[in-house]
Amino acid sequence: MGFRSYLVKRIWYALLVLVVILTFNFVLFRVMPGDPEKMIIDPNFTVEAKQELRRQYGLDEPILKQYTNYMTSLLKFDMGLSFNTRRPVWSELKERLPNTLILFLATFVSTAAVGISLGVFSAANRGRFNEKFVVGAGLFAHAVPGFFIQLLLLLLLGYYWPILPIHGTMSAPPPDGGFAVLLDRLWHLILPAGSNMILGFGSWALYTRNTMLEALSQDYVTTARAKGLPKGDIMYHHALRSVLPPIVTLVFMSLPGAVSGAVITESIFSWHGVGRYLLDATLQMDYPAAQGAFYLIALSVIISNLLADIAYGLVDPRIRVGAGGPK
Amino acid sequence: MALLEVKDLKMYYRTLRGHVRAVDSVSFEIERGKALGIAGESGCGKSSMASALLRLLPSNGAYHGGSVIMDGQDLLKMPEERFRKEIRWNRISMVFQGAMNALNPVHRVGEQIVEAILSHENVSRKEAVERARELLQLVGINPQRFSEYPHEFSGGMKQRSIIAMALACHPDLIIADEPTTALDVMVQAQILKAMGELRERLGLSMMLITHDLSVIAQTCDSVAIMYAGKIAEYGSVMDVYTNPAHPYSHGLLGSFPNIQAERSEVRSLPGFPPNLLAPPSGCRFHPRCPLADEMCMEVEPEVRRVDDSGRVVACHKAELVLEGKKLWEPMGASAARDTGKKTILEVSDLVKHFPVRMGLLKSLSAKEQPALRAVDGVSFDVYKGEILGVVGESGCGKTTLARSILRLIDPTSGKAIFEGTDILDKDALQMKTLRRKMQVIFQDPYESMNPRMDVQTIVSEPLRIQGLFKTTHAAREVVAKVLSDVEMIPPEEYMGRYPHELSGGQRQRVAVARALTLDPDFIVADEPVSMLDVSIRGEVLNLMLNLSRSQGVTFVYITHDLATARHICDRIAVMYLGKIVELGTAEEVIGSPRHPYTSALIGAVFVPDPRHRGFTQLLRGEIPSPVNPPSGCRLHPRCPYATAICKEVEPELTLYEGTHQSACHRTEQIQDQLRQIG
Amino acid sequence: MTQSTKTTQKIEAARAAASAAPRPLTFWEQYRRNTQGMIGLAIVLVYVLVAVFAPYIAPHDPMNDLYLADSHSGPIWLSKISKKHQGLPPTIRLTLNYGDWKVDKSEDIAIVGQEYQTGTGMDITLPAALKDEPIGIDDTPAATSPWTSTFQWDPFGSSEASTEQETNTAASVDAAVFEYVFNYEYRKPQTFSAKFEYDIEAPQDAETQLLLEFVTPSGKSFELWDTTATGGVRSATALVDARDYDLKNRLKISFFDEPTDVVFAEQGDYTLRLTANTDSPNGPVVVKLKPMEFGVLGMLYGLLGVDHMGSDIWSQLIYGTRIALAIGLSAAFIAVIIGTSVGMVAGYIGGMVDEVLMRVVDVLLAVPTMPILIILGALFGKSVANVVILLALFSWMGVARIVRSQALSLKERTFVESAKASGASSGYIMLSHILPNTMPLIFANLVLRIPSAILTEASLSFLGLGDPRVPTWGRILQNSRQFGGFTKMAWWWLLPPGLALTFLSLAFVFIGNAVNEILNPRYRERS
Repeated sequence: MGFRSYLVKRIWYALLVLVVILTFNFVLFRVMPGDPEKMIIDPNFTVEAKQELRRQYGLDEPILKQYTNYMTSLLKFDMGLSFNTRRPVWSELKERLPNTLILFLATFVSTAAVGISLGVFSAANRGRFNEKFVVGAGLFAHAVPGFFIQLLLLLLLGYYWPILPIHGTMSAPPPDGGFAVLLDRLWHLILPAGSNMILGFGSWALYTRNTMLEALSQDYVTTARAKGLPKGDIMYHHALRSVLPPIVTLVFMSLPGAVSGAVITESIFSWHGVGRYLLDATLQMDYPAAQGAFYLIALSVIISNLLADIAYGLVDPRIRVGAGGPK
Repeated sequence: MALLEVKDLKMYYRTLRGHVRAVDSVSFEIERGKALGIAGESGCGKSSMASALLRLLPSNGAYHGGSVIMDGQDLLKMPEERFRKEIRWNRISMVFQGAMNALNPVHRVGEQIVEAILSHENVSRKEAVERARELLQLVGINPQRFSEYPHEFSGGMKQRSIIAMALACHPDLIIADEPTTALDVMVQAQILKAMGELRERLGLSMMLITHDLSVIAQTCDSVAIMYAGKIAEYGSVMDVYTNPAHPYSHGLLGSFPNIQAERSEVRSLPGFPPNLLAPPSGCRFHPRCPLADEMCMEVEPEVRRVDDSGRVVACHKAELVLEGKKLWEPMGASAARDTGKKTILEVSDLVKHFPVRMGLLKSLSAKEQPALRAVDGVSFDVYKGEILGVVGESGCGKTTLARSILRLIDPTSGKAIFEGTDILDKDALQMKTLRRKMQVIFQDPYESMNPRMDVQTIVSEPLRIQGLFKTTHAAREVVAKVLSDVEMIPPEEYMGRYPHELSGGQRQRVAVARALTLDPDFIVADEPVSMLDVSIRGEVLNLMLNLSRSQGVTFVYITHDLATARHICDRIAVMYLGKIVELGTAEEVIGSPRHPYTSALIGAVFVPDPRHRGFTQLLRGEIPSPVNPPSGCRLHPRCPYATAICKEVEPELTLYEGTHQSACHRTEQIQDQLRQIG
Repeated sequence: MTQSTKTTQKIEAARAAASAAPRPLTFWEQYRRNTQGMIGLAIVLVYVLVAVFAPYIAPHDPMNDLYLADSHSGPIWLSKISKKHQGLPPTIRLTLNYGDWKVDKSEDIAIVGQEYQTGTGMDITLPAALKDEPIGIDDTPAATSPWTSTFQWDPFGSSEASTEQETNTAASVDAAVFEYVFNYEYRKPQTFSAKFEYDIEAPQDAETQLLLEFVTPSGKSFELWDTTATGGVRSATALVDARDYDLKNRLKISFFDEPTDVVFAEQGDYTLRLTANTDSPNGPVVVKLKPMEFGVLGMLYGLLGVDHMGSDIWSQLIYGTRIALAIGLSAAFIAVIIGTSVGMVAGYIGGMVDEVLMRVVDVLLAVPTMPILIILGALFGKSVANVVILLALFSWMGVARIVRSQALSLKERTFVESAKASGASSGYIMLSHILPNTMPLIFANLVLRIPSAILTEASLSFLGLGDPRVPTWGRILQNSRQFGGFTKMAWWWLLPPGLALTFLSLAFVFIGNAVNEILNPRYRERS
């Protein structure tokens, strides 16, 4: 199996997942107990407005037609109007998406960098205090309730020693000047992204360490040692290189979890993002908004899974150059 | 002066339960340009010693004294960095066990050789690449495959490239740890031949570590036989093999079936190596030794000379052994016998294809679903009470055949008439009843028992499954009887044990006992001894032979090992790529093979006797994929006798003299040719 | 044969010894040596004990006992470690019974103790004609007065006792004065309150006055409450609360000032004084007072203070243990059962079944858990059962994958093939061969699933999607985030539930790792 057919297969698969999730979404909000109109049409509207909306949503049409309408409209990012703001959901989400992406990227890059390097570091220092410390800290960070640690950091750094902002994506009013805005944004980013990093690095470090140790016990590493290669070569060229595929997979596999966690992080730090939008919409029974936000999040997860598969294919020669497959 | 001198080397492993003395006071030397073989059963410390010499101990291993002298320097005392740069690969290189894993899957094969050169020699990358290509050429790999990844290489090619890698820095000594164990006989012969030639050409010394005494007999100058971390006997191959002085060497050598020797005299060496956490007092071999007395139990024997040869031995009773005292009961020879030719199983045109998985789009566009033709039209009879051997290399379809005739998998087409009815027509319920008459023994004694069941539960399980489990007492009696049948006496002692409390040989006996529980007429034994240490293979083979004689059980013995097949089988079928190529009595097939493939197989079998050196390498290359087998005679791309007809027409099994059948267009011509030569 | 039989026996014994492998250690023997595992077990044990004995450990009902102290009050012990909290009042709750009062009345006033559910109240019979000067204090029981007769009256209306109209000729009687003195040695409180119920049985033209005063240690007297009733009054309540505008008005302070600044600013003996008198020309008046409840809402309370509703945090924490364990265990259990069944069937049966089941697993794994839980949680309604079911439904996939791969490899094991060769059915093989050999893995996974279920539930509760009827740690955290725990820097509100979660989750992770190491040596680290 060549890389191309591998890729095609993964894309097919991603589309399948997308259809399943969309269908699930459709079923959930329409076939749920109760009047489907209640989910879509604000009960406070006038009769005429309701009538108009019903027509607009095609609720008077057969279910199959509704389904196809729904699918096409979502593919066009037409998600209806929010009950609360009466604005199109998509334009509200568009405002928030960059914020979520910024937070997400910052978290992701810092977590991966810190986690993987600590993992390699501890594998290289097998048996020493350094390793035990990293493993202990990793295990702890992995097991503690994330939102609690975030709340704690918020209490400490936002209230007891108020050195960091306690909420929001930027100061209000924003400072003048491009550079100042950037600094202000970064300043607001420290707490949410930093706390995510502290919480997230553990599983990365542990996983990297474990796969590294596994690799270091492989025959080809013994061969490399017997060949008299310098330690660094063995460590990086042989061990690390050969565990890259699983680590890359983990990197991307962790994306759904990161997106899930974004809801909590965003609500703790009052981050103006998609996750918090989802939560608020849900709590306020603003169904079009909740549905739209969920669709966007699911879409991002599917895309990141697809990226994971592609990255895996690129780093593993067994896939890149024919024959075999993952696992 | 010796190239390498090992003196009194001791190496321990720290474990939770205490020290494992893996290498305990071992001394030997390797002459420049000579080959030393280190032999012994698994767990005797031979592999630990190999890594000890290159200072590649695992993290829980530690040296406890001794020295390894090379050029007057003690390698164990050398600073790590200097040892790495000057000794590893530069002076001593290594060919590891398990070619599959010794190459890093994410790097190109050629690069892995280049890397070794660059880390030791001050040459440009270009020169290193050039040399790597030469090395690949040297071991018989097309240098154009330099930039391929390991997964694109076959097993034999991987092993060859590892040898090329070992030669990269012109070492003085190559340590080869079981270099060919995982490979098929023919590939093994090719590799060992290539290694021998290279060694001679480059004047290398070699330390060959293997459990296979015949490999050492064929390739080494001297041999050290290790037992429980110590050297039992050490001397020239000729001395040790022709006239062993240690009871262990004697037993071990005797347990190797010799395809060229008379059909008899395969012995087994009962028991198993001791736990090195708490080795036996005195001579470590005494619990297994027929000559042991109180002195052996209390006094550890000195390593001493016993005759005027250079050989040394660590045994109080060496003189007795040399005198030729009878030590072991010989295994009952299996003389050819007439089994009456009453057919119990008649297989005709049996086919088993496995569909090859591929993408949805491709399978729609493909005209024909490609298939792995594991068994591709096989017909033979099994006679009541005989042992029929089915012999072939891995991938020839013998295991699929075994499973098909037991209907553990459903064959694609064909018939298997067992006692008059076709097995393949039966529904589930009829099949269940039929299974009382046909049983199976599997290859791996470690895998074939549920680790959570004790012996009694395992052996009585068929009764439970068949609904024949009446009372615990009755079942116990059945279990006791079959355990006695497999010579596990007293049975009560073993019933409560769990598989991990049994030795490999005992486990395989339990597996046989389990197969006997339902009192079957027909047993398929799929490689029943290949996972066992050589010293105990005899036990199990002997058992099968006795059961066949005393209880009239019919066996189909599936194996890759012609030598054992020859010793216990009445008839032998040779398989190649899903076809039977030759079928006849053991004497007919081994004594006067009619098919070139059979001849090649026999030629590739190593003889554990240094007086008969050399082997014929008849066929080129390796066994091709059964997904797309060659047209005509499947052997034709590899066969030196192939002509145009072989490419086009598939040969049928043809009866020659006696019961001897062969499927080759050119049998007559080849026989003529051979007669002229020999 | 030169060997003696004795030697032969010895050799036989040595052979037997060599052939018997050392007895493997039992699970418990191995587990006992695992420090981490033992610590984890001990911690979990403590939690289980706390959960079981919660009613004995927690002083309050975590959901229904509200206003135990001023909202956001810190714990009692805070006064010992923090200057800011030194001298803050605890909650003072007094129920003033008949016997607690110091009574000052004229002889013709009769007072009888009367039992109510809340304590002993009093029936005060004021004679028809009131004199002008007070007479000396008389503590003689009212029953001894010859010319009055008390009547029994059940405040809940079921009394058959008749009201006897007095025909006494006395024109006026002096007031009855009740005083209660208590000591207060704290800083001024935020609020205080007094409350009592009363009935007045009187002729229509009688004018009865009740007055509640508060006297500070320095002797300043403040009127807190008064009423003048014409005729009878049934089931009235007197309520004084420092937060009421009414009181501020009465004390003549502005809306923004606190009554306690004026009334409660001193330390020493405070006096509560209740005065009752009447002007009843046509017969005696009976004032029935139920026990008075006087309270100062503390600014320090209990072991961990109170939340914004004045509910005891310690009690919430203790009862939270029950919910956490119950949710964690049941969600993990259900998830593992689903996962095991799916994994087993997929792995063992294989083919299309496997393909379909594993695609389902893949899709579910690709669904972002938290968002879907939020949406489903909101749609299905917030209840513990729903949370458990949702948690289980979205967390069995990992187990299914592990069990499947185990089943896949086990079914290739030759002992399964041996059983098949003896005619065993798929069901038999799954139950007697595959399941027992997968059990260790399943068990370790069960243990490791528990903390993640607990944490996910806590996150949901924290986001406001928990069951509002039960006290969970997530809810405590949510309350602290939402209702001022941060602006008040009430770390005692945030830390305990967070640490409770952390330790419980760590304990299960410890146990899970220990079990994994012992039962599934494949995961064991090389030593």
